[in-house]
Amino acid sequence: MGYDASLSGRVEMDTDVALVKKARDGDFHAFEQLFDRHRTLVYRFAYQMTSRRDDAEDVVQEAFVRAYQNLHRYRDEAKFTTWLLRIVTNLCTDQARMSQRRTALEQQEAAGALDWMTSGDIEDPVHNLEADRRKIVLRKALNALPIHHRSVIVLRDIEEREYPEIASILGCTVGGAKLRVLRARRALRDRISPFLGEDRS
Amino acid sequence: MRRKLEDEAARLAFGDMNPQEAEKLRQKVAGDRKAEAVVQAYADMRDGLKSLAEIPEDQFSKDRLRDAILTQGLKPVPTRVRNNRNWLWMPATASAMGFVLMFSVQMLHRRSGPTNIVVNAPKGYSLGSSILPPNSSASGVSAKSAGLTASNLGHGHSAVESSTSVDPDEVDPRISASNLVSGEDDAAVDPDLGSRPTGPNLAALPVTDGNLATLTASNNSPKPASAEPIILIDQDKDDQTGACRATEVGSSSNVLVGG
Repeated sequence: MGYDASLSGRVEMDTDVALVKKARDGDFHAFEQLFDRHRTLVYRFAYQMTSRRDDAEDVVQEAFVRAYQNLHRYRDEAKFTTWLLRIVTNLCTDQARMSQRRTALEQQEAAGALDWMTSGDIEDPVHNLEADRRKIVLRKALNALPIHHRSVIVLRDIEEREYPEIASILGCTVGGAKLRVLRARRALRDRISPFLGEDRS
Repeated sequence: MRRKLEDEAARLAFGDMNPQEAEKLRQKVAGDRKAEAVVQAYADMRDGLKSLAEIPEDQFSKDRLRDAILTQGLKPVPTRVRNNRNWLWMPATASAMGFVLMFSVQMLHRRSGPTNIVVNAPKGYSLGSSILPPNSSASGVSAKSAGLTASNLGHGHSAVESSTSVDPDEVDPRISASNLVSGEDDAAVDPDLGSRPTGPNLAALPVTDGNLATLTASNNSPKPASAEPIILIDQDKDDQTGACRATEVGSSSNVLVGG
């Protein structure tokens, strides 16, 4: 019993790199362990990028399928999650390109919703309704951002990733990552400020 | 508001500044309502973005992933041995192959070297004995002219004919001929000899019989006598041409091989 516990403990303590090596050797159970460990992370990021649960789940599936097929390309010097998020970022970028038409429609819809919400026709007697409104505004504005701005906002300001990891995911320098985050925040503020009563003059 | 100040306000609101920088900027924007509003707007945005972190639970299952991967028959691509110095194999292999090729061509060239046969050489005279390998045997082929010495048997008799055009004055008393025997299967050596003269291993031998020449062979692969003619070049000059006289032996039946 004690042996089993220590064994399972050792298995639990397997690093991502060890699991990747096992999966490379054909151990699918090891890959399932990787999936269990990181599915939430991938799903969260995918959801923030797509804002749809079904789309996010499709992205998760595709991301893990691609990861499984390309395990030989994974370098041990990078964190597995960083590598995985890079795959997800690329997938979301591809998806955004393919569904450009749909996105355009969503933007129009978002703009309409924002107009409707900021027209003042509806009063929000409850404070949490105001919070919800702000949240919706922010979500819509985030979805309307170009994908390169959206990804850095999600990584830094929603998922709270460190700059070096963001740089790794995006394939740029840390300074470049900081600059991208700064520009994305500026772009987001430009979009939401008219609807939140800010004066940008 | 200046863009730089706005960027600094964003960094302050999102906590990307160290404490010293943050304090300095706070003092800078203090009293400036616009600047303070910008900082507050970014702070609100930061809080709003954090609230977006709440997302619905996923309903993704492991089975779905397994189906997506295994039912499609997908497999991870086999890991290749990757090394930063992998490219060194290419020039190294090319060099090795080039070396082997050059060596092979050189060896082939040596094997197909000219065959020299000397007829009527002084008894006991040895051609190229200095290059004779220590293990070369001293067996030979006897021809009808005395003093025949041979080395480097190899190809057909055309080369023998060309050698007859050499000025006799410049030619060694031993008459040389090349390529006495054509091909490996055409060795004009008695099978009883048990060897076939080839290349540089062939030793020059003294003639042992007046009508027969002696060929030396170091190769120990016995070859049957062929039906192709053997041309023996005599030291005597032809009256009409002035060149050395050549005698064609119809077959190896006229050639006695012996020590």
